[in-house]
Amino acid sequence: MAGDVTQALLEEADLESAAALALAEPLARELWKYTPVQGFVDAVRAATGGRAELSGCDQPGVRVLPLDSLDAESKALLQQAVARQRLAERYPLTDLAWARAAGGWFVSISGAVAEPLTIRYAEPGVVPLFVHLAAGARATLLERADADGFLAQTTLVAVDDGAELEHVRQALQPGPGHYSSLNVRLGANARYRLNHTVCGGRRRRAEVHVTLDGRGAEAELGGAYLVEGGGHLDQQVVVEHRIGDTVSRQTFHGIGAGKGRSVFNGRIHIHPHAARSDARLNNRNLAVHPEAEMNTKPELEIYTDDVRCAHGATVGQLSADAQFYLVSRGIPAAEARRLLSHGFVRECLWGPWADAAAERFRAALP
Amino acid sequence: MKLLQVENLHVNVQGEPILKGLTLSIDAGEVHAIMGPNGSGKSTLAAVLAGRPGYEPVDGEVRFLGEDLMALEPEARAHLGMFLAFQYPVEIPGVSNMEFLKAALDSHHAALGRPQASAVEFMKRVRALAATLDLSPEFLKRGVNEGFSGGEKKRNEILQMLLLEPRLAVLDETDSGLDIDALQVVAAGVNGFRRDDNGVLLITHYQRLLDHIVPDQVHVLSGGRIVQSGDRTLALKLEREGYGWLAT
Repeated sequence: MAGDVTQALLEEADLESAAALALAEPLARELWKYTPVQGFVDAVRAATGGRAELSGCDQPGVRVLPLDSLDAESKALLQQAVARQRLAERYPLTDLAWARAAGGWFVSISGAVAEPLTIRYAEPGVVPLFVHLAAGARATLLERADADGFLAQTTLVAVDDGAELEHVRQALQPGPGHYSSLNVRLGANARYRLNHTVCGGRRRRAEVHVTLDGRGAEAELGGAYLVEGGGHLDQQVVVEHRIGDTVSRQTFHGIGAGKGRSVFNGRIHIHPHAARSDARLNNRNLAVHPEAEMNTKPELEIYTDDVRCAHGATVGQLSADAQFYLVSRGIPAAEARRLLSHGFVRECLWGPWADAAAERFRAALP
Repeated sequence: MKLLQVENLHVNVQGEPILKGLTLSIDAGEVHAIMGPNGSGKSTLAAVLAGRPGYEPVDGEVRFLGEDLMALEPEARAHLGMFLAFQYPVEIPGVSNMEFLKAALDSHHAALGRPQASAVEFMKRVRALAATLDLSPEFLKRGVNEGFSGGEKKRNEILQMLLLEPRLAVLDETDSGLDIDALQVVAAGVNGFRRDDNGVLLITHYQRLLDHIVPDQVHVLSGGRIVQSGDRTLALKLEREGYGWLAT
């Protein structure tokens, strides 16, 4: 039965009811202010199946198990990871997706893994992924959403003490609906780098929650997004400093390339006692189409004094000086604008698939 | 052969008259230098020749290779052979120098009906030019002018000039912010560019550049007009005596 495995693992009898209750709370209403949640709830409920293609798993240090055949040790690890993460906020739609999940994978990584692990979501549906990096492990994880129907992509990552993960998460196909949820917890001295890219698509919601939960943990989040005509993209990024001497950086650039709507909410939450936290958030938006709607809201919640914290959010047009510089070299005005827009997102693309993403963005620019 | 003929040019910037009847003529094969006190209109002249928005020609005429320059868009001016080396080159993160140079060269070839350079030919040529300017190949991969030192930015301007082979290069204070070694590299680049069929207009505050790039004529711009012209000894006199002796 759909969701039975996940529910049993999470030791929750009725995730679906819990999710429904949580969605009715005022907090959820606030978090879904710009996007009608019901459409996503209906899509998750209606989702059947889902398939993830994994590669790079046949390497020393990598174990991949289907969620319905975990051994006792893996199960305990996963349950512990979920329990810890749930100390932070819960995401009702993720719960709902877990309740509906038909399959899913647990990936456990130890030691230094040479080749990237890649996961391609090729079909519509709900596929949960749990990734655990043991203390001192090092890996690169690449996720790509390619489904041509509604996809709920829920990823939970635990990076234990001293481990390092480079993570690329791409959604570049113009699918009709996509719910993406990523929840990451970092232990002491863990390092995490995320490149998160979204290009096109009709209706998308992406939630990213990173918890710095051990002294010396560092997270660098970056990415680019583009909204085309008729598109709706709602991104909620939260970085939580639960403990001090932690560092986070966020740099996201977005482009409104058509009559569509983008929402970017970036929140930095610094807990009491998280002294000497160092957090920065930068979100820049470029409206290259006159009817593009770009919304951005940086938020800081700081409950201790001894912190370094900075945020900036802008919505603007292309620089006139830069445009003139290019046209003065003979580059036609329209091409100059394309080059500059592309450069604006290119700045925020890195990792093994950056070139592919850059090409997709280039093709989507007017 | 006449490259540039400026007749009685008046230019307003934000409604304020800056150039007030400037006349200047440059023949092929010549280097002209324009000097003048701050605020005299030197950079305005450079900007209006290149077609920078906001610089409004209100009277007079500019002919470049016989064409009405002011009637052309900036990119068409570039294709015709006008080049401005910027005083403050713009930083463009995310667009690599190589990509930018290729787009610029391709646009020239397309406009002039020439075949596009192959990627290999192009890389070879750019690398060779960069080497003559003491710029490492690594620098071509970086964002346009991004994080470049002042000297690197100016050398990058000269690199673009050498690649695009314009008929007239207007160098707007290209010597500012350069140490003596960088100045020599830039000057060698400009001297290597000089041919019988092209010209250079140097805009500068200081005569020291003219020790390295010897001008055929020196003009003094003051109050929006050229008030004195002469040979290179004029620059030496200005260096000794300043601008105070000039009638404005």
